[in-house]
Amino acid sequence: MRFRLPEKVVERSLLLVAMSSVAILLLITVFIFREGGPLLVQVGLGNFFSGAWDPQHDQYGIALMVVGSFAVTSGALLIGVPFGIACAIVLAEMAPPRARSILKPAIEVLAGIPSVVYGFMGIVVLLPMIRTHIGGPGASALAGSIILGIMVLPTVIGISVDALQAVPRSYREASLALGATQWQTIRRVVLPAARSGIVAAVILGMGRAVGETMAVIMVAGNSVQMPHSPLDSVRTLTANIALEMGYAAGDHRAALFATGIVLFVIIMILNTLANLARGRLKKRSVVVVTLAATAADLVKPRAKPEEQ
Amino acid sequence: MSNAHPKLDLCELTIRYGEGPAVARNISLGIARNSIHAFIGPAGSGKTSILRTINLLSIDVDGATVTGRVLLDGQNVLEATTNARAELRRKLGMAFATPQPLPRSIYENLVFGPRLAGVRGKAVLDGLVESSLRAAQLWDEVKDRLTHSALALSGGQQQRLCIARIIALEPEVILLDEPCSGLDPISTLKIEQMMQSLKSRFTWIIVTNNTKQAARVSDNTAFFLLGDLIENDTTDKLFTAPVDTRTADYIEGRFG
Repeated sequence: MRFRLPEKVVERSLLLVAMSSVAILLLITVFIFREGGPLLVQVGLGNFFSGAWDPQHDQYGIALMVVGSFAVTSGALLIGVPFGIACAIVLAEMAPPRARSILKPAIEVLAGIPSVVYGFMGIVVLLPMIRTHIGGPGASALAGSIILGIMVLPTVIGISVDALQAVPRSYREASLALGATQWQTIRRVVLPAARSGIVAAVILGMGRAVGETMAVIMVAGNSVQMPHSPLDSVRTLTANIALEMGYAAGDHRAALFATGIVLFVIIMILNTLANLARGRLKKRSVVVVTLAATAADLVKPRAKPEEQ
Repeated sequence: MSNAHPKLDLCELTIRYGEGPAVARNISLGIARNSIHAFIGPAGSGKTSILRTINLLSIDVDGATVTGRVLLDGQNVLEATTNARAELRRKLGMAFATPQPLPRSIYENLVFGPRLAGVRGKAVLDGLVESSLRAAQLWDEVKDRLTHSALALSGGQQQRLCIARIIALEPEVILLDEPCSGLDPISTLKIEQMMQSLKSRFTWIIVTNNTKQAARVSDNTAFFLLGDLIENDTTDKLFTAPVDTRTADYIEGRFG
């Protein structure tokens, strides 16, 4: 007789495997908050968000990196969102099936290209172009924005296409039957109906841009300074961690983890907003919110002894 | 039947989707001005495809291939350019089997089409909204909540709203695709009364699965079966003395 696994055992073990992803998320959360939290408390939020970053003299202010991240992210959205939404409209509404069968896989490949390759293309193609045609050193917030703008395209397009395709066919038919042209139908009926999904697409694209590291390091210049023009070099939060973690120790290392906490919180807020926009704030987001609360609690017990 | 100058004239109309067999074959049929013409027949007989071809939705939305001619006052609809199609669809208003209100207010649903057609001015639009809703016998039910979402209306009200929305465009022909298939008898009655009362203003084509409805409201009836036009005559004649035995079988409920 063949041995058969009882149904219950299979079910339970699959559940266990599935839950492990949540467990890993939880572990990461606990870890970065434990490593970075104490320093946040020690230097205080005011100092941590100041403009002085000088680890050799125990100055851990990340304001300039926040500005850097903000600059390249908004630049990326400025470039990526119009292109992304236009592309989604073409894909979902206008393209004949054959064009779609070329466009869709191309965008999926775009998502699969390693970020270091984007960075490499940036160094080889984009930076010289900026240097010769616009000026400055080349490596700049502008370069970072352009590269990130391309990198957020798959996210923006993918989710926008889903949102557009979720608009009932009947809306389009009704609009056409009332004498609207195809473009009028898209602009006045389909886009408004898909608005919440498109907002979610933009927010998630933002999350992608904030979190990107390698490509930005390669093209943005990474100077810790206040940029005065798009052609100035900037350092992002992610770049700061990646560049300095290799040799950081003690408080310096903790400060980098604290930078990670800031990123973590930003991404979590963006994801929650995206879910809110899609009207999906149900169980999954509750988990995230609880996670945040738990993580915040975890910081306190370790912080207290140091205060005394 | 006064078919000397029909409002709408279908000539040798053949419709197919992709590589499949024709869903309507060689249909020739005249629709008299200011009449109600019913299309009846079992599912898959091609009635809806023909209706959707008259205002070109089958071509633009479903990707159908159509041969033959659809003459509206002698002009071939099928030759309309992309730009002329929107204009044409205003003349050939259509309501669908499931009511399709747009996700906005009752008022906005009604002015959507006229605004696209270039009608401006609040007073003009307000007047149009009231007269269309009155024509569709919906005014009394919704006059106090024009700013409410159209999606909150009942099915029967939604369908009358959709017809009012068409009337607001002052079309020449109104195409109704099984407009009462999901409605209760009272809503159905209201729509039938409305059609009768507006016959002097429009030419109506109604696709219906309900032969009794065709007998009640229409002046002429066409019976379709598996993509062929079997018989087309005055409603009185078709229901009392059908020529073809298949017509007789269908209207007596022996199949379909």
